[in-house]
Amino acid sequence: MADQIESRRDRILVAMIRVVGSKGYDATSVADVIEEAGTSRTTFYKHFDDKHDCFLTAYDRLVERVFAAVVANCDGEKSWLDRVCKGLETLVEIFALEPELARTAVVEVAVAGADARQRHWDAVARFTAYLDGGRRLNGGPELPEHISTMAAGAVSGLIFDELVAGRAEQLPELLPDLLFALLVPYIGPTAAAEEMRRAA
Amino acid sequence: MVGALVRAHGAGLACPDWPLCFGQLIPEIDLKVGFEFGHRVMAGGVSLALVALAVFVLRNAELRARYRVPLAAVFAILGVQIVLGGLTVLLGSLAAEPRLARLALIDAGAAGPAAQRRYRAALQRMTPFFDEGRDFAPGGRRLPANTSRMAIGAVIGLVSDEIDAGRADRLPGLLPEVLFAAMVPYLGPAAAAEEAGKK
Repeated sequence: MADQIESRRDRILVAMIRVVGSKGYDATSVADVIEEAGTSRTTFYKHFDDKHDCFLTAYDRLVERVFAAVVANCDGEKSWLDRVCKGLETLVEIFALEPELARTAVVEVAVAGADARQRHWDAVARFTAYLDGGRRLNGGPELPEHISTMAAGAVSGLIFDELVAGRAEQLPELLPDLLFALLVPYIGPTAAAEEMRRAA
Repeated sequence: MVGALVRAHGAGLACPDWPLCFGQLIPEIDLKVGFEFGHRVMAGGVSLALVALAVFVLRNAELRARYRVPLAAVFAILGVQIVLGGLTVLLGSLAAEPRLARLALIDAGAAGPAAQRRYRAALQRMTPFFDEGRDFAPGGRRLPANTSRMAIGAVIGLVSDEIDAGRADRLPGLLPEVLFAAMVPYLGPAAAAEEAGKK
């Protein structure tokens, strides 16, 4: 019985991500979500206060899922460079396979209010914490405090544009450019271009 | 020095349009417009003189071999000055008008698909400004086509993060990091940190 209740809740959370990703956050109603999930309105309100509450929970779960997949795929790699390449590749693959998830994670979260945006920034910070190992690669210059925010901003700007243009499936073609954007603040354009050619 | 005077008088946006000023070649002059317009005339004159000098040097094989490197260095300095000037005005304006900053960079992205497309299109209009960096980067022509979009994304990421956290007033202090973000895809971390460290 407890499993069934959890499964209904899960279905609602999955449906929320899908519907928001295809219709947009503002245009999504609770009715859309329960129709997609195949549950009743009563079940929805048993688990969540309203659409926004459900969205935030769904977003948290989305972040956990994507983060776990990225970490699982890149933790086996020995060097910082290989971990970053593998992590980015995993992220791009997930986004290309699940365009609605990608749109919800990157585009629609900006529409869903200040608390949702805060969750987005927190999620970005969790990913960028992994980048900070790159500081030690470049023994020379003192790198700026917010270098990982720059790298993440460069990558998410490119991804955002592709998603808004409805080109989630083509994201893997952009992987070399995304890799260059992520690496260049740490290792410079010549070495980043080399990695880009390896990824192409 | 003239750039510093413009900054000290908060005159960076005294002419709201570019390359004309209030839609005129020679605008009505008051103190702030005078600083900004004078700055434009002088910077434009210096830039044109440099271009003329470059054409003269590059057309003569002997001069070209002898002065190619110093000429590239002079253009690099000019490029850094242009980027620095633009970003100083941008950060100063956003810090002076925090509500406008939020409207321009946060709310525009949160106002639905049409606004998002316009917002992204407006950002892309800045790409030629950033792509000047290609001329000064070693191997600049081989950089990815999207390099300017990356630089813009990095700058916007930094600035939006501060504005969304209610720290727009601190933006001018972030200038060295913003400058690093704009230049690093072209110059690499060592040269970008050196240029940013001078500010």
